[in-house]
Amino acid sequence: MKKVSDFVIKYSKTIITFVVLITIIMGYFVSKIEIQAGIEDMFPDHNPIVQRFNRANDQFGGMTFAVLMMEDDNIIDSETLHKIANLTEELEKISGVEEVVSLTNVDQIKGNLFGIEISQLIKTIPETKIEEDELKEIIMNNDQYSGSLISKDCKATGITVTFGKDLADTLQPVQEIKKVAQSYIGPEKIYFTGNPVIVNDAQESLKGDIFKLLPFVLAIFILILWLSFRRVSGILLPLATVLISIIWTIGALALLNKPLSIISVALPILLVSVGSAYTIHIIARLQEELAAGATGIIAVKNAITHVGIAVLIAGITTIVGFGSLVFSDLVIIKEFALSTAFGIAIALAISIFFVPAVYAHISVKSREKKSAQGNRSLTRGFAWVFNLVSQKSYFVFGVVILMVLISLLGMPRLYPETGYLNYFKADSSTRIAAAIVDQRFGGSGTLDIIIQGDVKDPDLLSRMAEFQDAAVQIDGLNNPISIVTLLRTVNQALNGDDPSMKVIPTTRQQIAQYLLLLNMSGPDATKPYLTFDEQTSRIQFLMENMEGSKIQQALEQVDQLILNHFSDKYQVEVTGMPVLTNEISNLLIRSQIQSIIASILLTFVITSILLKSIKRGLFCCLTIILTVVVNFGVMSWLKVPLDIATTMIASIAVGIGVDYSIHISTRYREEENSKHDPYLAMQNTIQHVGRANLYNAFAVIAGFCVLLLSSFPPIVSFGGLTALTMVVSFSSAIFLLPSLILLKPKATQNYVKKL
Amino acid sequence: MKRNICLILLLFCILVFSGSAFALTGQEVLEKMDQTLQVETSRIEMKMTLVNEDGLKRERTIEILTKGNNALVRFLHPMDVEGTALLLLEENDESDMWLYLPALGNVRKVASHMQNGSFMGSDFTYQDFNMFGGEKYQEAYQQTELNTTVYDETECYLLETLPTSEDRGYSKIRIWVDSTNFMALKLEFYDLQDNLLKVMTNSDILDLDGQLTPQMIVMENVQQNTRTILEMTDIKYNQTIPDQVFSTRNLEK
Repeated sequence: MKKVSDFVIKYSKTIITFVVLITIIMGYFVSKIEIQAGIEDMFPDHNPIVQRFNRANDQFGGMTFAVLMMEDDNIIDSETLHKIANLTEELEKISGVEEVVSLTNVDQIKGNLFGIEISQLIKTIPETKIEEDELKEIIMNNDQYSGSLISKDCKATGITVTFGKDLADTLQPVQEIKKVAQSYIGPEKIYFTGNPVIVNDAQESLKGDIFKLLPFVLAIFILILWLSFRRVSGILLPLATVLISIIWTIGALALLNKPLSIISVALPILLVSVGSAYTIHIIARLQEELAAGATGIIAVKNAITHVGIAVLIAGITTIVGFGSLVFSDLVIIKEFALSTAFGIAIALAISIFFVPAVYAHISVKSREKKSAQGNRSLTRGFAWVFNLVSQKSYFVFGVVILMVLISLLGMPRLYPETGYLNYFKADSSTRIAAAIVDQRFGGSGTLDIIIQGDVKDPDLLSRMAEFQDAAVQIDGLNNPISIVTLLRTVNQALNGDDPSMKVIPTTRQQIAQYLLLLNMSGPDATKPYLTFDEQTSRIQFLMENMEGSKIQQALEQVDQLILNHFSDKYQVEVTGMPVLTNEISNLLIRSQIQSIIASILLTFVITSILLKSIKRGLFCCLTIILTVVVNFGVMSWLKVPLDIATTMIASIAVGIGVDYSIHISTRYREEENSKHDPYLAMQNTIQHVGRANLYNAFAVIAGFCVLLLSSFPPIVSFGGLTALTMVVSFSSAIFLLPSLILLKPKATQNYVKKL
Repeated sequence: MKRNICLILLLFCILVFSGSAFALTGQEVLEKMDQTLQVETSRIEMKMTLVNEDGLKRERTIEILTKGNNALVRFLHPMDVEGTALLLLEENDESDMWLYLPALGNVRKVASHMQNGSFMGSDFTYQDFNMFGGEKYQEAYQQTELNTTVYDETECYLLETLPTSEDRGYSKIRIWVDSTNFMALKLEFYDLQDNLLKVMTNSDILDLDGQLTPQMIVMENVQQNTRTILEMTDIKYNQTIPDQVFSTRNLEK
């Protein structure tokens, strides 16, 4: 570190010029950064559940769709139907939209006097009242449409928009559809929902709120810095560190042509909290050196030499903590981890090189002394802390054990929430639209059952029919459609439209000939339900938007039915958007939890090596384990679900939280070497490092508390929980860690004797 | 010098040949094409292979009987659809389509608009298929442009034709016609937006009872990347087929 400090002083001008130049260049690139709305990176190709979904989507299509619902007093009137027809046409033109099915273009299979007919349900839009009533009579009495395409009270109709096979391509068209639909509102109401819409809304809310709140986070941060250091440089330098690291990181991403992903949007907020800490510790130490009588350059050199190593360890552990996410299955997490690690490395370098270089050029004398000496109440406070940890450590341990117990007690209540919809408040337009469409039509997502086997075999067909009829009894599953449904309709149509003939054909010849008949109306008639080789079929259920646990329950019931109906003879797979999002979220949560464990272990190794003591390394780890446990405990008691955002907090807690402990540990080692008395060493440590830790924690906590103002629940819990983990990791560094270090029976006795 | 003479001779030949080509009008070419196709009756057995965009195949064997403007299509294979038959009758410019499903045991009428659709789920429309029957090129299409070109090492007329009726579903068809025997070798069908939709190629052309007949016809939908391959396995022209074969009563037999 001495070499580093010499280097910084010697080349201070070069360092400053270099940093300023690079920042200006990177600043130019920041303007070019794009925010990627796509979600394709969320889907790792080698995951079997994702593969199953992609396979089904390739074979049958139509797995990714959205529903536009139009509500009016009466749907079947000339004006509304014209509107629907125009809207349908306009939607079809949007790039990325593969198919639009509405009342005005849907095909129907109909029996007539002569035979069967597959034609458009509405051939011409009625213009007179009589024509309207006739059409209404026909449609409302047709259970192919009544209840699925048009609500039974004739007050709502659904327009299904199917997207292409590339999942990434849904968000652009979703936004365009919204725009188009907007112009059709009034007097009819329009609701827009479905998985792509919900994902889009989630991303919009997330982006919107983070950018809206970031300036407030910075403002609070500045205020706290002012209160802490009461110097312009004490505000400007940490702020500069944060801003430079943000600019370099985003600039580098833009240079590499990498867009900011939806998770990476959190990057600036993270860098504010992490990046500032290093500079705060350097400045605090500098003030301390000045207070101790060192002057100008010497003080700068001393500050780097002494606190530099702690800052370095803190930085490396954080980089490793985030770096461990590189092993995640999900590219989106990987990129986030890499860019955060990069940003932290920049902040670290700026704190060690740039900040002291600037200090070498500004006058840092008397006022620094004054402020470092100031605030007696803080000194008294830390004295109290020291007394507590040195004499009443049992109290500290007691509190810690109690917290751990309470947290562990709550753990079984922890539950994952995987549906995007549950990110929204109950009264948000996103949830209202989904709820209304669920209620009217039974769902805006699908559960897809893929069955392997020769569908012309009457045995398989009757099993499919029985399964389909049984599964519709499951809560949340509605309106199944499959080759069974189609063949029943054809049978009815061929038998004079007699409702009692709405049954499946029973011989191989019948099935084959009906299929041939269906295919005569074009190869697309059976395509959504049967593959070209007639060896794979799909039963598609509409699925309501439900909580993760209810989805899980429905899926289990479906599995049981599959076991009962098919397992002895046929291979059956379950897929669909709800299954996929369920899996993706589970995957994210799993990978997060793995990475928490990995980063705790890595932190242990690094701190042990750098502190040259396995015991001290372990102590540092204990503080972050406590933080993680309390974090999950609070989540369980406050009923905050495990989701992508909240599991990430634990990783952050590990990366950032350990810094407080590292500073205490390294300073203690330094004091221990010079004072040879553990208690005196600890007293000094707490007085000096505790202060820097406090400033840092306070700034970060206050910053994150701003996020509590967000209207988007995931951001609220993210902000609140991150603030909480900072409180816990700060407190455990200042109470638990010293108590652990001083936990030497002999030393305690000696000290007590001395007293 | 010898080479020069050869070159001049060649040029002369080309001039004479192309001169004779332009002697025909496009309408005359269409007429001549119709003459090559005209038969009293036909009985064609063929294998129809449907290939979807993923390369998956569906094979069927069908038999097509034609007499005048009437046609009967019967499925021979696979077993489970054997006997399924489709009857296309044309009377006074009105076309009717009847379907017989053995499993059902009776004849059904198929809605008229379905006739614009795909033939048995293939890349052919019923109207495309009519060319096997009595339909005349010169009635269905009017020619707008006539050129000469070489296709597959064969001197050809290249006709650009417009359908005479709107419900064909094509904006135009380009036809490559062998200039020696007036056999259409390749047809390009353009959709209503004037984009290339389908390409049909006739190959392995044989002279059967004085009637030129392609043994293989491939229709490729270039927009959907699907293909239908027709391979003729048995062809008989101008045999006696009684009129009552083309009746709904005969279907049910």
